Amino acid sequence: MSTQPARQNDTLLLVAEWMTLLLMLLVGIAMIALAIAGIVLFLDRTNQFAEPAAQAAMSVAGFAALVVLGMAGGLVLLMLGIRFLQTMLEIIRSVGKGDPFVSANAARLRAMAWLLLAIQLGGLALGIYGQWLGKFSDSIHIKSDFSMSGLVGVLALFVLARVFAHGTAMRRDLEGTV
Amino acid sequence: MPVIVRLDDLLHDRRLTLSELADRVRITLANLSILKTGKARAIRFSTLEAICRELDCTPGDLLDYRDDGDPGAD
Repeated sequence: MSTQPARQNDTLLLVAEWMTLLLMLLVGIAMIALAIAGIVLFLDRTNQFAEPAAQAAMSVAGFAALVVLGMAGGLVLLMLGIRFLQTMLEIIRSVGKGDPFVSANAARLRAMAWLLLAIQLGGLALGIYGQWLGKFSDSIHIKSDFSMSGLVGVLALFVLARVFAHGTAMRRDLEGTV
Repeated sequence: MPVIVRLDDLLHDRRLTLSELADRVRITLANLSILKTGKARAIRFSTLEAICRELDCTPGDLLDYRDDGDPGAD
């Protein structure tokens, strides 16, 4: 059985691909900015954290390490975000090739669901951590989003992964049908 | 697979080639070839009907069953 022809002129797919690439670029820039900010803050820790460290009854280095730890957590979440977008890009490209009902896409959707769940839970943990750190200084703002729509997205991705796995099995059956 | 397709014998009896049958039943030569060589996993009723109509036979003439003693074989 032949697969459908590639859809190189499909506007939706083109927009989705470019949007995903743009988002990956933005997340990448955010990662670099966060890493640089973390390094600068840690190097300038005496000026930056003397006051909040005293308020938290900690050494400056200890408090700075806590802040950098929060930023590292943010970096990890952004890395998960990049991986999520990269997986989405692979799915978009497989649709463009005209052959989306493959077991690889079911696995990709499942991976995206786990990634989104990790981002949601990690974001919640980071938000709580940031709130705790923010008690010691007004200038510390570690915020992270946690939304019901994100959780619904996780569920939708898990269900879609099942749909794709089922669709792939059905297509395999159809392939040998004359 | 224990289901045996006797398309080759039927074509031979009726002095027809596979491509001539493909034209008559409007099924691609590639798909008919899959059926003839026993590589098909399933056959549509519409395909069966078209072949039986053109070869003037019944599904029982086209398909046979021989137990090969392997229930899991594909």
